[in-house]
Amino acid sequence: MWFLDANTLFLISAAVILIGFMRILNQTFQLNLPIKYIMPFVEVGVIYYIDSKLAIFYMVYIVITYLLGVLLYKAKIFRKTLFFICCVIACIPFFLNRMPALGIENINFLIIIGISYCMLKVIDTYFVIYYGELKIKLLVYINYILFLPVFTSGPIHRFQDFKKSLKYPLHIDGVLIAQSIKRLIRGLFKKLVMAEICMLIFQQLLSVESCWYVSWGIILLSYLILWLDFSGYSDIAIAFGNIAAIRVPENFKHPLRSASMTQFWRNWHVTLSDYIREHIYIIVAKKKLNKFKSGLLAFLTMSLMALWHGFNFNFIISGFYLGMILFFENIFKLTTVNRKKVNKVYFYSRCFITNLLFAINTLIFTLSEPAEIFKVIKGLLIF
Amino acid sequence: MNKMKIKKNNKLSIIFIIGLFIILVVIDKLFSMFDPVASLEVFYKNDFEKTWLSHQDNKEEIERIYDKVFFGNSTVIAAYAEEKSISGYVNMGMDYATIKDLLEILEGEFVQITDELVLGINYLTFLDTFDTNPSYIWHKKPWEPYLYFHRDRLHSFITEGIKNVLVRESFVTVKYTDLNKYYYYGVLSDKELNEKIEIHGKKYWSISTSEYQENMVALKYIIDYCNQRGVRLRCVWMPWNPYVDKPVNVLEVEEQVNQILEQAGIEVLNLSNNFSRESFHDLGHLNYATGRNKFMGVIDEWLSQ
Repeated sequence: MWFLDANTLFLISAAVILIGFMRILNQTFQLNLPIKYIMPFVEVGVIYYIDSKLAIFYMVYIVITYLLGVLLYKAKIFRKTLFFICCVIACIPFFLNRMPALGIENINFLIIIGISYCMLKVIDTYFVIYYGELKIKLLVYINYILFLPVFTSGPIHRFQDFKKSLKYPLHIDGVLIAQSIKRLIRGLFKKLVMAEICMLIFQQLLSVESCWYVSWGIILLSYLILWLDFSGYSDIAIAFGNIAAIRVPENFKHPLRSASMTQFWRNWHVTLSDYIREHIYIIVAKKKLNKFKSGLLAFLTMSLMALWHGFNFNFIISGFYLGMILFFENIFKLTTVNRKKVNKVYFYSRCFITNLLFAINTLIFTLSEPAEIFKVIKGLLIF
Repeated sequence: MNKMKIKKNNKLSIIFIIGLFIILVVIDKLFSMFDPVASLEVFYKNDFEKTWLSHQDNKEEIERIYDKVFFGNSTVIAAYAEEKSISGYVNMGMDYATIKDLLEILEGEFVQITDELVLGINYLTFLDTFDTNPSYIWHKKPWEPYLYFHRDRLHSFITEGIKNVLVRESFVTVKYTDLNKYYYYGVLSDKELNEKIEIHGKKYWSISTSEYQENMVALKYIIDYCNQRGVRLRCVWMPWNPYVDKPVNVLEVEEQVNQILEQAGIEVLNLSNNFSRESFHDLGHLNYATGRNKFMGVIDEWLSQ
């Protein structure tokens, strides 16, 4: 994560302040500075300064994927096959990056920062070309892929949203800057202070003898750490996006108020879960699905999402676990709870259970060894 | 009305931004002024801070003006026993110190030398790509906030403190009161020395003299600095373990440095071949029991001249 490296954070701050400053000049003096043209140079410059090989990779990746996009747009025959091939080619660096997880030794130059997110953005662009039959401008495409605040860890922009935000940037005034600074401070505090303190307590608890309340403590802390870490990161990205006058989508929308896992995924890491669900639905779910097929689709979504996080046993189990919960919610029609139509106790009980089930899943992220996870789960049964 | 409200909000926001900026700058200046990391015992000290703190007469103020300084890297720490010396030279040996470091110390006025400066040198003192200790204060960029620059030590202080509190101990359990620098004890075996030779061979002995030029330029600046301020400058080539012959690139560096010193008329004492293997701990560090005493026997009279 780039924002943890102080030099990189400084560079990104400088880059977004520069872009924001140019926007203010445009707003105030109607200078019409060609910001859309300047942004890619700033972005490539920052990436090149951080890692020259990474910048070269992304320039090549952008050219290849853009040309494929042009080909897809112009194709009159075999469009479906070409669309599939384009998506596969866009994913190649992602899979090469995950080679060590498949037992194949990685090659140094293939350690590609941000590819998990950039790949999704490229695929979204192909969806826009294929299903929307829209022509993509190279300039917008470069800006979309390289937009620094969300480059390594999201939130995930949709191509159409980004394009709109680039065309109609936010109006920068004192209020927006003050809000962004507050959000930036909040994000850094969550990520660098709160998450760190929680992690120390978490590690301390891990060294304590297992029993049910220790295990629950570990599980709840694990949830809290993940939320602080990831929502803190999203706060920073959104704040930086605002300073550059580009709207960045929210990634967390009160997950504690989710009464089912289906609703939970509309409130937690929203941009990723929405992305996967919608892109799969576009392909396979044009017609109305029965509850069994909906369940299977939800299961597939969760499995894909878990594998996107990592190719290992932990994530396979995580995908299966979350997928099964969604599957059963679909089968038993438990996917949505209308807060206004149920009593408070029922609603909050459902919220509590949903978040508890998810909290168990967060151990996959906070504990790397399956044996450690197993020890915590086993501890729940020691009274 | 709505426009008025927007205008008011905008004005308040701008006041917030400017106020925040002023507060941050003031806090940073206060920290820089009191320098708690260098002065409080709860933080680990680097060799430069140890030099500062071990020479402060007044508890309130850190001493920054010295009459006589013996500067060098860890070989100087190992060899020169300030407490036994009658010369009055301050041991400003620091791990990974190079001539560029000294230039930055002097230019940044972290220390002022009034009378005499002796440089304890070897080829590593001139290596431009030599590792450095990032906590040395002259590495702080003007735009780096104080708390950010000292983040490593602050981070470990806070995290260790929280860990202590979690096991029901007091927040601070360790105090760094020992201001002694790192000494080298005993003599390494042939096998251990051969391992060192292999590591040094790979890391340093194939580097061309072009990688030493910045420090040679820094040496010229220091010569000028001393001339301008009437500071007597002398150099000592620090001991080299006869267990291994000097590599070609080391000899080349020495030759180039000697040329600079000769042209400037700097007095040089060459002790690189005066010590037997038993005086060394490894390849360049004299051991505490034997080598250090022998070095003092030779150097102290010369320093006192």
